[in-house]
Amino acid sequence: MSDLAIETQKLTKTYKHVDVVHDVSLAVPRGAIYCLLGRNGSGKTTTIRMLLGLAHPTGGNASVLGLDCKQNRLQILARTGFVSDKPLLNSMNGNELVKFNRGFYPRWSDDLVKKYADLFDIPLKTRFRNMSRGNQTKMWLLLALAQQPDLLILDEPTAGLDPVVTDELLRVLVDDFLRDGRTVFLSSHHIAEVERIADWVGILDHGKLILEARTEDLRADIRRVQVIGNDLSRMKSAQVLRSRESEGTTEFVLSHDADAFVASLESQGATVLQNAPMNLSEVFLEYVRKEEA
Amino acid sequence: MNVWRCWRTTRWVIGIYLLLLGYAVWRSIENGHVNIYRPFSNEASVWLQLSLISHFTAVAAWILGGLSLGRELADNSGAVLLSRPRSRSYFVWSETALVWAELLALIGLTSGLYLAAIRYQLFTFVTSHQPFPSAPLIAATHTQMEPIAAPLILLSMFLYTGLVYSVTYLAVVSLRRNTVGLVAAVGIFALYQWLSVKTAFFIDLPGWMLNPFTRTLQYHLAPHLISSIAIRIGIILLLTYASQFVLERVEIQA
Repeated sequence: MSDLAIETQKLTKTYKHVDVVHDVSLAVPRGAIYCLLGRNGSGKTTTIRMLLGLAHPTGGNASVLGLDCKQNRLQILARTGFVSDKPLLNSMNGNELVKFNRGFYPRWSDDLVKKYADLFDIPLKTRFRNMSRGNQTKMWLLLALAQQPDLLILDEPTAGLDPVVTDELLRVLVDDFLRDGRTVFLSSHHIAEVERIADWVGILDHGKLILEARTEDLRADIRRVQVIGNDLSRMKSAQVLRSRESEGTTEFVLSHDADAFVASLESQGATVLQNAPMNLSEVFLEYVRKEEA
Repeated sequence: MNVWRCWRTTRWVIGIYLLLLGYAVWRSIENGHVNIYRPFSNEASVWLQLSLISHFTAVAAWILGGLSLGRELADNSGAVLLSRPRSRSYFVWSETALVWAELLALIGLTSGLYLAAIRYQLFTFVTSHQPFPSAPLIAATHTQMEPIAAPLILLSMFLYTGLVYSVTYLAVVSLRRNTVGLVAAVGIFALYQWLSVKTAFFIDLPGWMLNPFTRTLQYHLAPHLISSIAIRIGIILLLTYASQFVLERVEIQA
């Protein structure tokens, strides 16, 4: 059995001669929370739709839970929970949505329905279209959790949610779902909210995967270094993501080996004012800006 | 699951149909129902009357076609349906099978109530000695129809409504907008009628509804009846397969 819950190789999707997703190669380890970050229109949702068989790849390969997406779509769907920001069946109330979904999944648990309906305080007698945005997302999550999937795919789960609901949702993912070694793959552009739970991140921009790394490695490796010295902004090195000169100081953003780079700066007579780690939001912005540059 | 979802979506159409049907039966009993005096065979007379009523059922079939999966795709709910672990053909055929069953039930009920209504009129006629009973009344009660006539009439009505449903279903699934699909289906019906009129001098295009009888005084089945039935069944299946083909290629976009 593969150690990867999701694996794509050069996955590509073209709409009207435009590559919405281009040569994306993801590796999502089993048992991890993997967060696919990207701006609106960066290709996150299209990638997820291809994994679920809702869109057909133009090129490349994808496998989910060790199963090929083209050949084994139904087996994948049987073992994968999906949470979207799109409507469920609008005219059904919560109880009817449960009734509709129950028959599709052999591992369906009514106990979990009851547990999460109580925990999330979902009004199951209210029609989906009349539920608040937060309750709609909770309803999606309830249905996905009740099917007891091996993999949970969430497409922009925190979009439009208030901080309290977002916190509840993320807590359930970490405390309940991951406990049995299952995998969470979620897309978002609300980086600060997912930073505290993500084990792995991938950054997608203009359809291309520009970074994939463990979150703790990003925190450890990517650093902002501020120095005073002459002509430092011209220093070129593979680890320099960006350099900027301002008011007599030079700021470098380094992707790795910060200590070695700092040592080389100091050997040239530079004075290091700051050598600090960056949070995920800052990392995201640096990588996206680098791509644009 | 999906059959239950479809039933939930379509049950209001069945309910309204039954209400209207009940009203029509009540009115026909109240007013005395004398419609057809044409000197056709008993079977043809009953068929003529029921063929008129079939248009009513065809409207229900058209509405049911508009309530299909295409409407869910239009409502952005396609992602939830098509991410369930079932093939797309399952969604097409389970939905279609349910609607066919509903149409069969409506046709059976409509025909049954119609025959019951004219039997009731016969009873009224006999007891009150009213003159001029209707031809369908005689057909259904005074003389026995050929045993095969009733199933043929029902089959003819079913094929007609099934054809209307299949055309509408394909239009709605293809366009993924139920209102536009419903209008497109009407356009197809109108276009065919227009073609039938325009080409009537050269070729006799088959009607939407199959007439199982020749219009004679004696009971006669229409020529090439079996092949006509087979062709209609084939077209209905072909249209449903076409809907499946379209749905299997549908992509849910962001």
